[in-house]
Amino acid sequence: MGVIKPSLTLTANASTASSNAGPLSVALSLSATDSLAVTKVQSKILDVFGAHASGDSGGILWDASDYTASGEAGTDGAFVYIKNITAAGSGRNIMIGAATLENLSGNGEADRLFTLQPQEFAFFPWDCTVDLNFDANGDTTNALESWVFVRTGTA
Amino acid sequence: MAKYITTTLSITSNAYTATTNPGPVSSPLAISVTDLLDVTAVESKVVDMLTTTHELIWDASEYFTTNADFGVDGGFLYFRNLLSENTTPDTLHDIIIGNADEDLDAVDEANRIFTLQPGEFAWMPWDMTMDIYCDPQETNAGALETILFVRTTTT
Repeated sequence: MGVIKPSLTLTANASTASSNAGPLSVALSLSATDSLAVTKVQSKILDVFGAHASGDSGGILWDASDYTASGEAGTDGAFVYIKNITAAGSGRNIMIGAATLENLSGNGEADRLFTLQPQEFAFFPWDCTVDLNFDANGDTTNALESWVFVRTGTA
Repeated sequence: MAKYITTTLSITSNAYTATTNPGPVSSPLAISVTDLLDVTAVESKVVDMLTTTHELIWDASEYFTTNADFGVDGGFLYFRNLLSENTTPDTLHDIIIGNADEDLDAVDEANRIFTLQPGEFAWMPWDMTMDIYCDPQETNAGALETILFVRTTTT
């Protein structure tokens, strides 16, 4: 067992600021930290493709069955970090989805959890009840970085 | 006029040989990322948990008028479980986040995105292709903090 310490800060200037004005009339400063007990750690940097299910990974970012045989709430799962590492302005959007391996780019596609524009990132728990998949709006090598930290207690 | 928030995430751990808070791998980890996001509306709420009710937290249809296009429409979501763990740890203060108005706590429930244990947080984009629900395990006031920042390009 090991411990990781994630920390997230969200800041914004007031809307009256002369540079990087924020969305509110007051400045925003939010901070959250935690200490998480984990076991396994895995990381990868993936190529992405406009045609989903292409490449060595076949469009699967993380396969739930690799980590647990039964995704039980509050017991089994992991923490996932994902970043679109393509250069700012590259226009390479990467879609992350759950459930079936499919094209995730359709308007209103219900299995698309979110889109990461260049340099955007996410950090969230994952209960390993579904696979996490990816799709993109074109081909780019070394485009998607992801880490998974498996919760201690996952069976 | 553009309005910005700055987000920073760090994930750190000691080497597994450390005498306090040993990490999950043989070397220390230090991941740090930051991003500047262009947003418009901000909405924040602290949600009470009602044990017998699945609660709609974010209704996608409230934020766009045409289609939920990838890379265009959407927002960024922050979640934090504000509860403390019970003296004898259990799952009663866990908060389940999912994408369907139903019980989300079954083993391998495919509509459960993740479980937040006490003190845990998440940061992720949201493409507004699905509504976001929570499924409490027990009645608790002031249990879940969540903030939505809407992407500027959302129409």
